[in-house]
Amino acid sequence: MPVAPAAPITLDPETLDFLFPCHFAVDAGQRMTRLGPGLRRLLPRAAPGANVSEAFEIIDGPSDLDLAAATRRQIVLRARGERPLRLRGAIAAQAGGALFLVSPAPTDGAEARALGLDLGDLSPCDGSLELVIANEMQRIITLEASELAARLKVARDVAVQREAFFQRILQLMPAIVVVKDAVDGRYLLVNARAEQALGLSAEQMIGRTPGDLFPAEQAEDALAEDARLLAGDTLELEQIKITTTPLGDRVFATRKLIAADDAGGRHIVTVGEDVTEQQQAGERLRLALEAAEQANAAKSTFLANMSHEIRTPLNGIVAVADVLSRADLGRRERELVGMIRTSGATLERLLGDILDLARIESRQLAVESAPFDLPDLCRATADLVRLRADEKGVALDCHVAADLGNIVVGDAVRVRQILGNLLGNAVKFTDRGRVALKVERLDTTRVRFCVTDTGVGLSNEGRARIFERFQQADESITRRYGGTGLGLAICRELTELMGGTLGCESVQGVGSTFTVELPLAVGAGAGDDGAAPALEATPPGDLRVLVADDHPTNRRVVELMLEDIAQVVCVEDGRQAIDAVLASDFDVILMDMQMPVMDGLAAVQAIRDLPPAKSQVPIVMLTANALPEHVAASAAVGANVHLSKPITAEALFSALGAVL
Amino acid sequence: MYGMIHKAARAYGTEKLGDAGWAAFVATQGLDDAHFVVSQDYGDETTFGLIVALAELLDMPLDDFLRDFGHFWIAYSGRGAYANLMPLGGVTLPGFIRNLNRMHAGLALAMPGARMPRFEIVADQEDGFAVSYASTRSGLEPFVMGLLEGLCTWFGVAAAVSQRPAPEARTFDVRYTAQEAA
Repeated sequence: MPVAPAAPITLDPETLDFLFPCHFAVDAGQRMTRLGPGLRRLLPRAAPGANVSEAFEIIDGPSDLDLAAATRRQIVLRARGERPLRLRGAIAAQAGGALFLVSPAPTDGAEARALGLDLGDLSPCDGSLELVIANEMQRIITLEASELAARLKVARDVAVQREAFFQRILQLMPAIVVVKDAVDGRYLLVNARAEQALGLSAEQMIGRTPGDLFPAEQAEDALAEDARLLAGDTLELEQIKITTTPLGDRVFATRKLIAADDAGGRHIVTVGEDVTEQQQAGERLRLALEAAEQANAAKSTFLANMSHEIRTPLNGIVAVADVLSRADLGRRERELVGMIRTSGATLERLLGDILDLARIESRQLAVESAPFDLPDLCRATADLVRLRADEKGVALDCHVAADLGNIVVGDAVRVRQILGNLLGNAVKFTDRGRVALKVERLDTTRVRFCVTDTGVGLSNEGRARIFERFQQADESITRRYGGTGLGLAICRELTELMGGTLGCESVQGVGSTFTVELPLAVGAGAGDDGAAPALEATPPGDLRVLVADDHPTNRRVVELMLEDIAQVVCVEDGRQAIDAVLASDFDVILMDMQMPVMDGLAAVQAIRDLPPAKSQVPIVMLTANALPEHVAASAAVGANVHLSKPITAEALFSALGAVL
Repeated sequence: MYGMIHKAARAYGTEKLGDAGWAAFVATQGLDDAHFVVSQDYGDETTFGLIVALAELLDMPLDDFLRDFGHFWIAYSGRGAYANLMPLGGVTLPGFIRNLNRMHAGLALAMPGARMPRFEIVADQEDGFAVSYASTRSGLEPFVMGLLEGLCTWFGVAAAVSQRPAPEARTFDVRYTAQEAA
């Protein structure tokens, strides 16, 4: 069937205005006959009747507007005048002319805005609005991308600066910081302190494993530690151990733990410090302490030996002089013997002072704490110097406060030593007037002793020097009064050892007052008052006395002292002493401590282990070992009395009287 | 919803809280620059979560917040990133509203999947007009109220906007004041 020709399509003006708001129609003479509402608004000067060439220029399209040829051709026009509106579309033929179905074609929102366009000017058919929106969105998105890029750059810069800041902090840290990757064990971070400590640069370490850098066994140990941490067996590992480095063996104190980064990767972090010097210093200190202890022990042995070695020959001098003094001598001989005895006594005192100071210095002098009768001790000590005071015509007073209390707790021997020194000095340096000892209680725990004299007194400089060792107030003192300068130094040391104080006030040419304050609490009960042994308990006669001493002089001295009252049997060592006891009976044994073959302590112990008929014999340890530990040792093995050399006949008789 | 809403919310929040306050708020919400890209679709849950949290922080009832945000949206669009597109909508308030659907249709081509609201002027009189609002989302009527009020301000129209009661709650009356009507 033939197809009927298509009916012509006509558009009503309203539809045309809607589809192409900026359309216009021209007649055969190219004069505009109709303008769409958009064009009328946008180009108010373009009016019907105007020639299209006057209103527009052709941008793209037929070079002339021969309408017959231009029909169904695309065209782009630009309005002439102040609003360069660009129109794009096509030319359609219509009766008596042509129809320009054109529409504004802005490329973006800015152009649309500049041209004053709105939606009503754009054709809904040609996508011009969508093009504008699309280009505008692209501009917005591009702008946004630039902003985001700028923000990202700022954030990266901040991150870089922060990273650099933390790196600087890390490098400045005094602690060693090393970080390894938990997966492959490679070093990731090594700070400056770690470089110094390990002797390896970060460049040498980063990217490598411990196995690449350290001895195999050490690296394996490190791997095992890492594995423990990674397995969660322990949260962190603290240790001090030796590490072999290019710098040699170093000791590191470290803490090792697992840390996760922002991305979730795990790392092994080790923080620590090189304690090699501290360890070495500690070892040196330990060795020094060991050496000091050995030296102290050697010093103690030396002190004990010196005490013994000096006292032994001193016994020969003092004891023999004592025996000689009892003989029938002429005036001149008696005077000479007196000088020997005085010198011997001085030498013995000096020896005692030196040994005391040495023991104080090496902290071997212990302060005893036992009850004793303080008033009795004070009076007895004063009596010791009273004879000398009387000889000089110096009055000696001893005033003990009534509320002092009889019994106090302290070291009687040392209290007597201090008071004896102070009173002796006071009498020594006073030629006329008086010396007074005043004792009073300050409170329930402390007692004050004041020794006052009207002697030569001290200058300020002298007061500053007198407590120093081997120092006297001035050099003339030694020439005029003698003395070693040790007495007051010992008094101060002993006072301070007992927790007390010793002070001096003095006016040159007027006199001095020495004040001692000691902690002597009120005690209960009576104990050994530490007084000197009672004098002159003469033993009964016809005694059989066994003397065991390896030194012939010492044996002879005892024989001479006892020749009038006893039969003396002498042996040279402890073994012989035991044999003598087994073979015979004795009334008393005088046993030396240090002897060859068998010493005195072993011999006493052995005698005490004999059957009762033999074991109960009284034994006096007669020895140059005079230190407290020797006295204690004697008592421990069963000796009845410990008598220190050098001895006098009085002391020997007193000891024998005490045990018989 | 698309990131353009998030960006508007960011501008609004920054204006109210300052840069530091906004940064702190965003941190608490677990958001960052990646949540404020114009061309990115974030889903309603994310957008509503952001809006509700911001309203709470500002201690504003949600409806009041949405209405104020509507005011802000018009001014933000007109002076900011969309300053070139707003004039395309028209030079009169009713004309702008009439062109909104076509504008939204054009925008939808650049934002695939965007669910744009539709506005129809259902009554146009000398003293005002009525606008019908249609959307696949619910609860945004206060925002629409704010938009209309914002448009009145944008075009310099003295008018009162009111929401009709249910069942016409999605119809808004814009009544010119006496001066405008005259």
